[in-house]
Amino acid sequence: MVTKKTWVILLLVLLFGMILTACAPQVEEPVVEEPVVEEVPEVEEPVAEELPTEVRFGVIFISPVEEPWNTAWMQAYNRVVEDPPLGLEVSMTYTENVAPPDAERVLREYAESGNYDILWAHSAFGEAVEVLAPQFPDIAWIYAGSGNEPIGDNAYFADVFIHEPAYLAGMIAGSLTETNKLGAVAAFPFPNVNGPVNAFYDGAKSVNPDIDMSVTYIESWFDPVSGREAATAQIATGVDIIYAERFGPFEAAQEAGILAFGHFLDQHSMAPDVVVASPMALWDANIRNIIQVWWDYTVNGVPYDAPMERIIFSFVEGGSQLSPYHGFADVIPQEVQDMVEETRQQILSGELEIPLRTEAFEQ
Amino acid sequence: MNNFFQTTIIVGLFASTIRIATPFLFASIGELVTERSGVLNLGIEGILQIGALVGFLITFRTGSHWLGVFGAGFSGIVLGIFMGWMVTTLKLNQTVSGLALNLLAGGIAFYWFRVVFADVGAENLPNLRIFQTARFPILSDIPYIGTIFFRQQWLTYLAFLSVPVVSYFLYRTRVGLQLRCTGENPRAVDMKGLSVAKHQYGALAFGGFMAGVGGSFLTLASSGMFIPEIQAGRGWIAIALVIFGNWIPWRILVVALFFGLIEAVQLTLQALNANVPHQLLLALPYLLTIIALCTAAGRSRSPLHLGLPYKRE
Repeated sequence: MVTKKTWVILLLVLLFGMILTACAPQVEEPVVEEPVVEEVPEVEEPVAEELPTEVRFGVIFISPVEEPWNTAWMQAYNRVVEDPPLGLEVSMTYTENVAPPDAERVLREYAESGNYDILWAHSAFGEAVEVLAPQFPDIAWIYAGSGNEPIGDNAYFADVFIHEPAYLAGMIAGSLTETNKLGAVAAFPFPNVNGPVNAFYDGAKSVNPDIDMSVTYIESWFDPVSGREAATAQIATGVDIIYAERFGPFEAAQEAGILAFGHFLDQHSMAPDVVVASPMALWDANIRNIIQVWWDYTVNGVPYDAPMERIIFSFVEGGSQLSPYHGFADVIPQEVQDMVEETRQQILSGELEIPLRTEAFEQ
Repeated sequence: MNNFFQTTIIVGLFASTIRIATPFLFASIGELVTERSGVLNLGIEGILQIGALVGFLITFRTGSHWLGVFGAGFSGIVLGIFMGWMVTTLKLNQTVSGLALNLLAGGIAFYWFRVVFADVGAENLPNLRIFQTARFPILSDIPYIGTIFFRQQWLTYLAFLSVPVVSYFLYRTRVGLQLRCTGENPRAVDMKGLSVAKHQYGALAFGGFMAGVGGSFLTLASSGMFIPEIQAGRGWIAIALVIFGNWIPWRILVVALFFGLIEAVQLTLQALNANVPHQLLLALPYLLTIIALCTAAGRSRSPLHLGLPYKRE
């Protein structure tokens, strides 16, 4: 009896383990376009005789692609595919929702497969990149985001800041508000978070000195339920325009009949009746840059030499922009639109510089 | 700080308290019944997520919110029975089984979501209109009181209604007595010729149902969208609330509301730019739970046989 039961339990544990392992790769295995492994030998020597015709990206996202940070990257990637540099065929495989402790294993699998020329990771995976990059010197490694150290050599450290378009969005908000109270619902007091939030405030203040703003940190990257409650609490205090750094405030804004601004990508389609505009992050320049770096190494034999600082493309260099107004083109007064356009030109010409303030918001 | 006492803010604060407390109440009351039968179900976090997903998917496809709620509840029952199979039939370690259920549910939820919505990004994240809030003639129009109590979600009323219902069931019915006895002294139940396993399966199914419905509240009555890990740790808090509430339905209601109030005060203080570190307020409920555990250790009404598999000798 006892042995039989032990066997049943063992079998079940095994079965359970098999289910788990059967599930795991489904989640972790790249889901988009299985790479077609071609039998062309890898270009080993720095100076190749034949020019490469394709560049293959392996991308590891820390969260699901629904996170605007990742979606913005995907959109930029798709634009690069449409208009490829150097006549290259650009392809990509990604794995989403990789927890930092798994990053080294997943990245190693990508690197060892030999199918990828460029591996793109999150800055939280910087330690894994630091270990792996010297072992795979032909791959161009890049990790993006705040909060890590530059590594150098073939490990590039990139970031994106959207404070300039957030400043422009703030100017619109400062002009449209009736209560002179703005709000922002944000994740953590984190540089990538604080930059646009502070600039939004600065922009509003520049057109409307009476502006009052409150920022709520929900202390989570992904919690639309708390985001919504945070926005509702702000609305109760008289806030009538909210900068939605996280998901959640749009629903509160719809319910209360107030306006909101999106964050990081054009979020108009998520709530067309409340999203006035969104400061957008454009990864395009950074993607094109790493392709160029890889090309120079592979074709011209220029050694990888990553700068010992983050590679950030500014607003002027096309690293960010303010989304179109969509339906709000008729709502925002023409003089406000003109003023925003004028400021935009001033930033582009270098006449006006928007300070990047990454400390936690303080009124 | 004077602003803090404006009526609209106060009214908003209390209305928000009740909304925030709702999913906790669902999950905690369900977990209470489960624990009273002697089973510690640590898989609540996972069931919340599955409930949130199933409710969202059904409503997204059919347009019927209530169908989504029932589907979510049903998925919770399935997971509850699965848990019962592990801990009651196979008599596996309850802690390990609960944690395994969480991992399994998390994996299934993300996989399922990605199968249904392949390759979406934030710009076309599927979302739906949430439940209409309830409106009562006359009552909803009472100033202040109406906004706080009579313009909530129907699911919220269900959650609050479950407290007296479960209380009546546990203390005033024969099955309730048998269930409590299963958690205190399963041998007595067994000797009476009653099935320990049936009571535990039933309690787990009910607990799963409540957690599933609580999960659907997140997607169908609060955010209108599903994203993986939307439950954001609420299942763990629900388990803590059962302990904090000392396994008594009314007390769990009070601590759930208290937790909701602290959360709402925290958000309101931030909205008012008050000079209080919000991290402290965020940590407060957990600190209080620990303090409650330390001070109430002697008077704890934890079921005696909680967490122990019952084996006939």
